[in-house]
Amino acid sequence: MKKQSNNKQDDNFFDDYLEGKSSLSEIYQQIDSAEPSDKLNQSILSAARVSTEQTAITKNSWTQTASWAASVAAISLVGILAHNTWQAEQDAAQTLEEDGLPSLSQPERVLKAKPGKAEMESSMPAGRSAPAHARAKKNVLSNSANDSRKLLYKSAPAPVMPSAPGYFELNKTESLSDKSQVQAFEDAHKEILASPAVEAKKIKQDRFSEQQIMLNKIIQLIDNNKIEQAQKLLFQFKTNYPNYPVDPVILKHLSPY
Amino acid sequence: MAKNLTDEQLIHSYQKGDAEAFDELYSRYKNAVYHYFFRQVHNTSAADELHQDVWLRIIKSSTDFKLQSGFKTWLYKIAHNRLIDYYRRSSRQPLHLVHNTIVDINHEPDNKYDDSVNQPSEPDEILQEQQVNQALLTALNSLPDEQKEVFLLHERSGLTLQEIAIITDNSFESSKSRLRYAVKKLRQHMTQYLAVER
Repeated sequence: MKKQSNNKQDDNFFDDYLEGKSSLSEIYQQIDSAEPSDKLNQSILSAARVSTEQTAITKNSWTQTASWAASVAAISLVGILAHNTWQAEQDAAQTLEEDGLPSLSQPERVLKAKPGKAEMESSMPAGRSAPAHARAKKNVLSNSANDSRKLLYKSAPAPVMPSAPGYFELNKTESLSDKSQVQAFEDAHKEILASPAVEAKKIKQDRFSEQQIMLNKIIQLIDNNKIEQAQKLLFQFKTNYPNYPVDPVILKHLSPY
Repeated sequence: MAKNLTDEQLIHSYQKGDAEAFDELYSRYKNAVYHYFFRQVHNTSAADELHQDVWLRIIKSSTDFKLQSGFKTWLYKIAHNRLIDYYRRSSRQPLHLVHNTIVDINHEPDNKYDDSVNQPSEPDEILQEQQVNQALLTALNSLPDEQKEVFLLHERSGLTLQEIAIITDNSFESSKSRLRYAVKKLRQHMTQYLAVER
């Protein structure tokens, strides 16, 4: 009974203590005044100040290092970008060549071998870089492909073989009126196909070139006002290659074939 | 200006290089931390060493302070760990085994800290005051280390039981139980004086 009473008193005292109502706390707060010495305080505060100064110095040096690193990184990035751009241009030029575009010296070689085809001239202007030249040719080819969809009789530009285009540029105002020109066209085409760069795609290109050559012949015949022959050739073409698109202008001129 | 800031704001200011923020923090906790050590190691030079170590650690590792924990909890966690380290290194037995003898009322170890703040005017009152103080200190020293630490953290440092549980790596209930036993024993030792005080 007495023990229970003591426990209850202890609990009450503890509850009072937790609430800050105990005289125990008052006594303890009065007696305990242990404090660090001034010397100890000064040494700790000095250490804190030294630490902040050192941190500031370290921060400054780190900032300088970081700015240097950022500069080096920026310069490196510019260098890498320049190199990649140059590499991309090289690759583009090489891709065009591999896809049937002759090497830069090839048109000259063709022209030299066949001096009669003086109208076919290299489109590479002097002083132009190889990649720029390749890009220019690609643009020309793209334009001429668009032009072919707007082919007009007599004034239309000569079609260019899409698979092996651009190894010579034709004057858009010229028509293929001369047989020798057609012959030169075919010879040049054969020469291209025989080159090692095109060897891998020869079968596909041959097939594609045959279609284009037939269409060129049809245009040639129309040019020469040989409509009947052109109609026959077109009929043969449509029989052999029913799915190959034919310029509607040709169809219009030869309809009904 | 710094006086209006919280502990956490002050330590962040110090992390950014504001030395005055540290001065303010130090002034807030220097006595409580020193007291925490002094009452447990009962030796001025050891308390000085521990106190200095703790604050140097705060200075060096201030960047490690995270917002998740309060500054006070962080500070006393470091102090607690440093005290355990001190016990290990000095191969010292727990205080309650060393100081379980009744201290003579006239013997005052480091008694410069035990003087009453409010000096009584009459000799009888002075004597009575000294007796009360000494009895309480004796009772405190007789407590097991764990109970004494919890009492000191709660009484002098103003930490909640939850904070004490975090600092001492114990559960809330365990911390509360230790404090309950500590208060009970102190009360038993101080029964006559508490009655007089009342």
